[in-house]
Amino acid sequence: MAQLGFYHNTNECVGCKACIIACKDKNDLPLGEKFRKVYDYAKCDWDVDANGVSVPSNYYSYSVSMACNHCASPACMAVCPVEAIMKRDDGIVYINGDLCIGCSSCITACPFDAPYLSTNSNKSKKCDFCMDYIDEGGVPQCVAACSTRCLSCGDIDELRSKHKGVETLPPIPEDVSTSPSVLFTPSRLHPNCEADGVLTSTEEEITSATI
Amino acid sequence: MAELLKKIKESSINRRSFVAAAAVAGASASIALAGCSRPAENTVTETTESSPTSMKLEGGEWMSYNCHTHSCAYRCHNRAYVVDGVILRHGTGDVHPDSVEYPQLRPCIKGMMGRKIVTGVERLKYPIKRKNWSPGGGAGVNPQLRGKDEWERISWDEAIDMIASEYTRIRDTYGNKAFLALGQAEGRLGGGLLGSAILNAIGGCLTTWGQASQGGFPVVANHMRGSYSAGAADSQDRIALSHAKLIVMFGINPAWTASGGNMFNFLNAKKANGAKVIFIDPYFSTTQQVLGDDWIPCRPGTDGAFLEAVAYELITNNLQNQEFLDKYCLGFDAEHMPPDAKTNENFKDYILGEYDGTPKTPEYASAICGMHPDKIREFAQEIGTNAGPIAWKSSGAPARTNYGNRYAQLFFTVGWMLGCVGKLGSEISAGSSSPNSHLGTPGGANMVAFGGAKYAYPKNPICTETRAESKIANKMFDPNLEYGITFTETFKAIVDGEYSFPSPNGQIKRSCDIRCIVRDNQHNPTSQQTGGYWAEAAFRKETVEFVVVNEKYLTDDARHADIVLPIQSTLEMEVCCGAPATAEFALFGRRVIEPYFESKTDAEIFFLLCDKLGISEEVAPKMTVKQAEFNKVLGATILQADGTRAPLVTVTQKDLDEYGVEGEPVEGIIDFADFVAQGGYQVQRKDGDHFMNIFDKKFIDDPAANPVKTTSGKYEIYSQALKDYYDLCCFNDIDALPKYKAAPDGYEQAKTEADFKWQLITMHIIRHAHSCVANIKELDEIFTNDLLMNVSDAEKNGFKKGDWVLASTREGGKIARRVNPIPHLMPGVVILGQGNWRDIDQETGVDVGANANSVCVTRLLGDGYQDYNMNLLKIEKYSGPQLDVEVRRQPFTAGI
Repeated sequence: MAQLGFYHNTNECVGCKACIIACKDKNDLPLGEKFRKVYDYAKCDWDVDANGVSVPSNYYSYSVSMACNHCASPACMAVCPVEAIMKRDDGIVYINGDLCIGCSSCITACPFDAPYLSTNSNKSKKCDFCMDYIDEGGVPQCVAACSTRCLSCGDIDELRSKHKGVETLPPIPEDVSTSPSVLFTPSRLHPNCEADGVLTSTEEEITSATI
Repeated sequence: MAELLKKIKESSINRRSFVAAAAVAGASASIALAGCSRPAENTVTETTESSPTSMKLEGGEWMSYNCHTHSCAYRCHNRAYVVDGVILRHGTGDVHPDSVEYPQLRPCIKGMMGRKIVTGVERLKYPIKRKNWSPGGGAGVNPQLRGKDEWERISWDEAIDMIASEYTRIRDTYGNKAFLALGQAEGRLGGGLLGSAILNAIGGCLTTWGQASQGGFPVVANHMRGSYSAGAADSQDRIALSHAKLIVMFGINPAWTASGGNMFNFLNAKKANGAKVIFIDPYFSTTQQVLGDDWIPCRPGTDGAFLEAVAYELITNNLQNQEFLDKYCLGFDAEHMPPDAKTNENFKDYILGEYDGTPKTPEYASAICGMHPDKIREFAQEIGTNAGPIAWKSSGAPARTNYGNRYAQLFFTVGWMLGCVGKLGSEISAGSSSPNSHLGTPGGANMVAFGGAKYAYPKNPICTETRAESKIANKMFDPNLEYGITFTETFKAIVDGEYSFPSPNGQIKRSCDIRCIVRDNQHNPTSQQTGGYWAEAAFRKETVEFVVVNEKYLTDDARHADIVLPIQSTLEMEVCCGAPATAEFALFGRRVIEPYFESKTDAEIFFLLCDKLGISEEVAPKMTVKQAEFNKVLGATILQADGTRAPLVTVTQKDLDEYGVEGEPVEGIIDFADFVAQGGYQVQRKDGDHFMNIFDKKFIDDPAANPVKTTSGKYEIYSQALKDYYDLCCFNDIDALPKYKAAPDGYEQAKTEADFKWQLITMHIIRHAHSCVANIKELDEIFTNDLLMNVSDAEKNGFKKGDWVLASTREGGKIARRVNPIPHLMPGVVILGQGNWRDIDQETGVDVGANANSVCVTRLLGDGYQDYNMNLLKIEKYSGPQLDVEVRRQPFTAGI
């Protein structure tokens, strides 16, 4: 079975968040709600001497854009009591809003904070890979809007053979037990992906909640 | 959120073992590959296989429109899918396949928020009047209530009547100098207009003048190099830049300042030949996270000291391009002094310490700029031994400091020591805080450019200086002219009744008695000018009898007005052409929503007032916005290989008739119908095309035949004319020779301070374009714009992420802002994104909106430039009434 997925080259991402806004526009998301989020992560050690000479070392900063990872083994789907979460033949995982009862089981189960409870509808919502566009041969709106062309999509196996990378990297949660269909190229500034940095995004920036 | 943070925390515990299992070695290999091949492995085609935005939409039309942000440094190709006058969706610029040569001009977050921005709850619908203000002056004014009064709706007839009668009364009672027109030229409505067209028509007004973006660069560049263009002519275009092998960037962060397609261009320019990119900046910007190969953190305002030490290293290692200096420059050494020099000092001996006993060694500079001396040596070796081509680039930011003029001198001088002028891939470009890789055209004019709108606005009879013409910056000072009030002094002058005439230290003062403040164009000076601390007091001054503002929202100055007139956005104009940036694209913008409620364009309002005040068509010939914008199409041109320009758009008589406009048919290279359908015309570039720009190539090829416009015809490292001009009419000091000098509110002062010790820089952020769209909550939720502070500084001072702090200046400005401690910012430096709307807590006097200029003090500098990046703050815990972030605050609405 084919599996669609996202590829994000964090080495070429400036954290412009056009992907978030394009997604919100396409999906008519109200204030606060986000299917896609961008996490800014950075490190820098400073050695400051008595004369004020300030030398940085071990520094990096990069941004990670992530939405639903359309996992091969979606935890959200497994726990949904009403089978409102479906996985298509192309691997896209989506929520059938007509069936969702807003119990939030999927929200707790997802390692990646992808689904959230919309207080407007009291239903769980998340990225559906713009499956209406996919069905017409297109790409998700976030990919089409990417300003540096660092966010791509495609068959995840093809993406993995084309771009060597990692399934997760800081500050994205490490748990890949759901086999997320996502691939990240680490920043050249931090190829070992050690989690020794600081999440510089603010709470509002990476929260999905109706305001 | 708490859940995610917990997950992030947990995930960091065992990350190392996971990484070992992942294919990291492979990842590194792919990165190395990406650096030297084009297109990169991460191909653009993968993301742009089709036109997804055209799908699943029926019954309407995709239409291009001109972005609503009037002061963005970039302009993208914004499109909207419109059904029955309602925008259903924004486009992604995908009007053609995407490639490096012909990239889609993908919009940024601001552009894609168009429908929220122009139809939001904050948008003004009707003319409004302050309840406790009535015309006629005296007891009906109640100036103390400006900014806190209630609003009432009035009709356009009432508004125009009141404005016309107040203008007449104030002029007849106090004279024309009682009017102060704020604001600057609005490019779309006719360049060159500054101040107020209607006040010009009734006898004139005082206006404001000075430099904003360019800092200390213009006067210095015009004297030392003979030209200044804010990067338009001296930057390379993006294709020429791809030939550079080394790119040095002083204070440049296009990921934030020009956030549409500009970074894609930089990225491709770097990839093409694997250029090394070095940044000099106190902050490791998001631009660097993509482009940076080396980072040299430098304290705000000390780049000049750094450059002196770089010069020292080049000289003592004999790494300067002596041949270039000897042939093209004067003042570098004793053998090449300009004939008009009034001293014998030359640059080389100054750097070696012959005059002041202080060799400008890396150790000398290190104590000022904060870099390790070895890092300075390493940088000097790098630039001195790199075979090039070298692109030596500065934004205006380092020159937006107290002695930004001296930085400008040193920036050019060290650039010339490298000789990186006049050859493909080389450049010394200055002040291009605008999109560097998108400007840069032969002669500085856009590759495709619109013609003029042909409005004939009356000139100001009493006040000459306009920012657009920039007489002082262009060496055209005339003591017999009236220049008006400098930007930095604008509000303080209203309060004090006194302003400074161009003169050393501003020693010549003139009195003013401002009775009426007018801002009838699209700009927000109360947000964008230093000395903003004085704005509220200025608007509330007892003697100010009338304030009128044209606006879309209740901006800071609109909130302090007596009458606010609602204006149209560019999305509502029947035609709206062009924009100052994006040299490769001429955008034909259409009306994508109907004019919002009763809003009108600035031009329509002008003509209504002309009629009411009896201004004849001889003085102010009438023209519709549609005709004016169409005139731009008729005059549109494209640059030819021989340097001439040819018509761009073919417009037939039938087109003119169908569109209902007048003009002469013209024969161009694209039919009007296609021009409309494609949203304009974008140049398809290729390496070697005639659009590539090499600045001052003629001078370099034959300096005798093609001298530059300096006194000597050569580049003047020692510029006597510059020194003399400063002594005549500029506000601070300079030397004929480039010399770093410690300045008030600089690092040298900061290190002696107990409280006012924080060096503030106020950056252009991606969140808004100056003050444009700073009110939009959909953008607040993804960019919160907190005060950025170094992590260890925050720890030492007891500030945690999310704490509210009070930051203040000695002048009295106070702002409240949340702290976000980040690791990749130089200790001692704090960053506040500029453009937030001022919002003064009436009880405490604290600006809880945190406008950057509330804490940028009034200071007279050079040709009226402003030191937005050189102010010292005291920062303490905020203890006032509880605050929440903007996204959860009440919107600014008139309630009508």
